[in-house]
Amino acid sequence: MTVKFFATLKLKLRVASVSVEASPATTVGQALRDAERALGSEFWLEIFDEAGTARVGAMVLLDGVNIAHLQGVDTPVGTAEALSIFPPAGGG
Amino acid sequence: MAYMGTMLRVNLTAGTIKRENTPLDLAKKYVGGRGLATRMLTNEIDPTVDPLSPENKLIFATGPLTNTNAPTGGRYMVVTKGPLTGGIASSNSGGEWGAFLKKAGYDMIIFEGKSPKPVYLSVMGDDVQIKDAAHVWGKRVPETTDILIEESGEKKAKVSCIGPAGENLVYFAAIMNEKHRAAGRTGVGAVMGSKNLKAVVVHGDKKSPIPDQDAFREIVRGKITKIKENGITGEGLPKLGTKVLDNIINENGMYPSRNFQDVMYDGTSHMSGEALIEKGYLKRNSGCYMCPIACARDVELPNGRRGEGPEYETGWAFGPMLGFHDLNVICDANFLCNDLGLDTISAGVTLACAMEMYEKGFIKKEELELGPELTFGTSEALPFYLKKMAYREGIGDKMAQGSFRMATEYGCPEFSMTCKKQELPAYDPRGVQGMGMSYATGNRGGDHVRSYLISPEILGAPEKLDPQAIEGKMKWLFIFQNLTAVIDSSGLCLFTSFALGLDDYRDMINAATGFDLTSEEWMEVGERIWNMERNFNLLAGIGPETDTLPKRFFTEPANRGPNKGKLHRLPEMLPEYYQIRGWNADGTMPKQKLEALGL
Repeated sequence: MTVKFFATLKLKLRVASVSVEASPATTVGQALRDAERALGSEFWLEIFDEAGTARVGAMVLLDGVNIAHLQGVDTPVGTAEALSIFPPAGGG
Repeated sequence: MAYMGTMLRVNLTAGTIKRENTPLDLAKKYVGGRGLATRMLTNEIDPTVDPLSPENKLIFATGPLTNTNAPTGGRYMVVTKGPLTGGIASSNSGGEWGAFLKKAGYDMIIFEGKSPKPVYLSVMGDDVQIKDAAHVWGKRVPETTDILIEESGEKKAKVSCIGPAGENLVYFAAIMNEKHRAAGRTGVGAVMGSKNLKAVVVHGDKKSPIPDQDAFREIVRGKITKIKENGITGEGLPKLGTKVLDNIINENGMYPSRNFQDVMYDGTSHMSGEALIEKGYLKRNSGCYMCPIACARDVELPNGRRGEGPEYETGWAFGPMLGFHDLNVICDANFLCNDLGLDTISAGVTLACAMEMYEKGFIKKEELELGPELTFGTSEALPFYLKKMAYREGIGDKMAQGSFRMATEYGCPEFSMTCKKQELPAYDPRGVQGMGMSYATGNRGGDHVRSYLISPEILGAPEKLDPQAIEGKMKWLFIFQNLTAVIDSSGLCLFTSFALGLDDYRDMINAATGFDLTSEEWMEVGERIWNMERNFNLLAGIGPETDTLPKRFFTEPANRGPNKGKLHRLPEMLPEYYQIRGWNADGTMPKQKLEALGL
């Protein structure tokens, strides 16, 4: 599946996306850790606090659905094609 | 108290200027800015008055925190009866103009009547004069600003003015200050133009009298720390500005394109906030008066043009809504609107409506008078028809009335993406139920900043709500509408609310004013302001039947993405909203409710 980076995270990593191997049972958390390994760069703490909850304004979307409304980082990726990762951001 | 205690009343018909005491007896009930100005307006005009007639009034108002060192304490509000919705109009702006009106010694200015010839008001401290504006009438915003600063003899003077769009009574004309800052929405610029008032120039050096400056400074310091430590206001907004939202909203499946016929846009990454940086167009960010966030963008294009913007809404209205994503075209059109004094949201959404009408055969080719094709994706159309709107030329004269009147004239009002005749911003209601209700129930029409439910529904601030859920949403809407009314009335920027909560605003307003209201009492102030605006609209003939959304959101399901198949569920939520508001089941307001709020 594709892990896509946005906002300040994209600017910092200097990459728009990375591909990771995932089976339907792979969790979002595992896919993100795999993405970190593929990039050779850690970003977990830019998104989550120590309890694994997204920081205010940060989000991880599984095919457009916020994992906060699924099972968080324990959500199986199933047949989803993409994870979109946003560090804290907002506007209006 | 942080009020200057004096306001100006300018009768443009008679050419008179009066100094009056600011009605501070009302301040505890209406704060200032949006609240106090709306109270004054509704006390003084007939709600059924023609918005562009001399009988309407135009009020520029600051809040108690304007011209203080409270974070973002520089805003002012323009309040009037607006031509676009026919109801309460108010639009606020940042920059430094609001702070300088108070430095000149005044909390607000009320303009009455209509000048027999173009004039501007010069407010240089105690020296206040109505001056001839014949030499700047017809000129664009930047040139007008430069000329009037030169004339004032004070380089630091601040100018708030209209451009050709306001002069030509375009129903969504903006009032621009410091060239790039806009009181953009609701057509306040047209009211200014109808009064033959070109500009207001302000300067002074007075300080706002705060009861205990040291205590206030200490409170403010804590709030600034919260703003700087917050991920949104301390990192996301300063780095990427509001355009960071392009990808967020698109990935969430609610970034409307082609006049809301599509709920996503495939070229978003090419015109996003990130792209603005990656392509090297963004030169620096900057901030308004006393702003620790600094989300403004200073952009230079490859063609050498330089200016401020675009904000998220503008980039969307001038890009995906029209079916293209050329950042050069988008930014240039933003600069053009700032020069002409046009609201970018209404201008873009009106053009998108015209494109759908043209593609579906309602607007005929001969009506374009050899102008560019009005088809989605034709970027050449954007600057061409923006000028037509501002100068009311050809089909631009119809566009200048906004999309609702234009589409209705052609027999297809369903293509107008408006609430209460004001064009909607950049969030598709089918993907975010609460925000859709915010549009539908907004007192100033389709709008995003009077209760920004995107914050909890998408961004997770202060907590994450499911955007498709409806349970409990109307309580959130009630709270956001009331709290925003207080923030708008205080003189602060709404963006502070990503980091600050009700208690923070209570602390700052109480410390600045010497009031001792509890958080609950401040929320009641917000509720009072909201009900006052609603009551004005009802008396103006804008009834509960207008608490709705364009038909498209009830009949055309979201076509793709995570919200595919979804419609908006307004009928399920509106009764609960009326109930929470304490209104009648039909949306009218019981007399007892108004009395309970002291209205």
